[in-house]
Amino acid sequence: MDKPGSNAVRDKLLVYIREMNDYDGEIEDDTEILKLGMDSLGLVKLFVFIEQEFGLALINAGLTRNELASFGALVTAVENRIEEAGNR
Amino acid sequence: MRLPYRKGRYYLSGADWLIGVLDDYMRVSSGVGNHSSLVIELGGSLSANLLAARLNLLAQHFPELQGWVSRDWLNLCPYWQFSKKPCAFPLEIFELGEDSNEKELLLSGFLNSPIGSGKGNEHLSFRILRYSGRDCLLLSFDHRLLDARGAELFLEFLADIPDDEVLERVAGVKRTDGAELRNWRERFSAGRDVQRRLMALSRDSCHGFVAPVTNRRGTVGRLSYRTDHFPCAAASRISLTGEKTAGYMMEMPYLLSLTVSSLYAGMPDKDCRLLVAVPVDLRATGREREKLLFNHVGFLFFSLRLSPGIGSGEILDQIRAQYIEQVQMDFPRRFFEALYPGRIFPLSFLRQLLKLPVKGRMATLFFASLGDLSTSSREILGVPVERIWHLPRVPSPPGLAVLFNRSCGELHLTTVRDESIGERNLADFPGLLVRELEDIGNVSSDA
Repeated sequence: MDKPGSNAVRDKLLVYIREMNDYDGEIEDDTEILKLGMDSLGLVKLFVFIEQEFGLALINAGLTRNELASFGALVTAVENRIEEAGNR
Repeated sequence: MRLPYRKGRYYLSGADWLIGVLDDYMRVSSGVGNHSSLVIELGGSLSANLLAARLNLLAQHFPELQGWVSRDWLNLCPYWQFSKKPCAFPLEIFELGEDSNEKELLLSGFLNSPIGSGKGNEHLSFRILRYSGRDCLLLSFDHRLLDARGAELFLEFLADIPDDEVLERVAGVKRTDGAELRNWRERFSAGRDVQRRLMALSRDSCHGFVAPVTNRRGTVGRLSYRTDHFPCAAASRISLTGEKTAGYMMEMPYLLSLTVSSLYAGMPDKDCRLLVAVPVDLRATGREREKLLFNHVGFLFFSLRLSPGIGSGEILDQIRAQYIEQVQMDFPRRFFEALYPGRIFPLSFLRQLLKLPVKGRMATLFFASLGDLSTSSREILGVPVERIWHLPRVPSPPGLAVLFNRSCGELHLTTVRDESIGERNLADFPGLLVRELEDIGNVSSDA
């Protein structure tokens, strides 16, 4: 799998979140994940999407609450794990 | 042809109609409909006069809380007809003595009694249980009007705020909804997928603690309950252990695996399949208060194969795999959409269909993990809230429900069972589950 460019993770997550949650508000780096119009399973659906899209094992990856506090933090967490997976 | 419906009405969804079917089923089989109670334990004494005044305000300005189901003239879509002459909500006060069992006996009685007279348009009732200066407020709600999250959000109308602020909150609730007479292709596609899955689940029989009900009315027995509360530190450790064991956002699968494992401990030599139905809230975060009324739930279904020697880790693996698969295909929302066409059928007809899946057992048990409260309110008319837990009824079969919820940092476990399920059938459940959770809650975080 090609390593995504610096904005690829961000762009794919933005598209997914807007489509899945029918969300048309602003999404900035400091936007809280849980305020993106998701239902109670929304975060799990997002994880499943990330795992499939980027080939990561996210659910068991020891994610911390800080990494999920905001959209920007999530993008960074995903990028870091992609880089770790690429370095193995 | 333009299908008729009127704007300005709240048309019931397919999920509402399913809950209506369950309610009808439970009334026929047990004499009491499908209701639950929120048990709100307070850190002081609640003024009955203030509560009565607040409830009168709500009765006058929120007539949707008292209503009934009606149909449009072509009988296509059921809608909620609210009362033009609302009356006061039932409010009872009970003074309890020193006997600590008295509260449990009362709650058990309420669990097995209808709301109000059981015949009218009463869908909410309120009871204050007074003892030792610390009152308990019981909000009993008909599931045709509110689901569990809706009932929690309702508490925000009982906050210590001026009346005009209450009415502002009421104004924020969605009180009309369209008939949704569109997107039929998508709905029938969802229906096909859901039906395939349910038929696959029904292919093999599932273990049931209660035999399928006969056609004789009122044959189903009383329900009894047990509730356990895990203090903040233990609740936090259980949550962290769940994250480490099952993964982030996997608390429901984790708690379900512990529940099934404890249940199966009472059937050690049995090869069997358990079918678990789990309701899932479909409200978007940030817009919950709009959708306070009626039902906004889909369902997950877990088919778990158990054989002697199976450990809770293997059970968890089965649950996680099925959880992720169903989340991936958006099953709960597709289930919700698939139910819409069923609205044209009368409840009595659909009640008969409930006996078809899994040879009339519906499921082995109902399970819910509600997580934190939907409401941010931590007082009722100025009296601090110490604890809120749910006391649900359950249809029989399956006759067994397990519900977890969190409030004020604590974790609460409520188990409700049909009393016809003998103690022997359940062995040491839920005692075994409680002890396991206590052990997890007591382990040092360094372990």
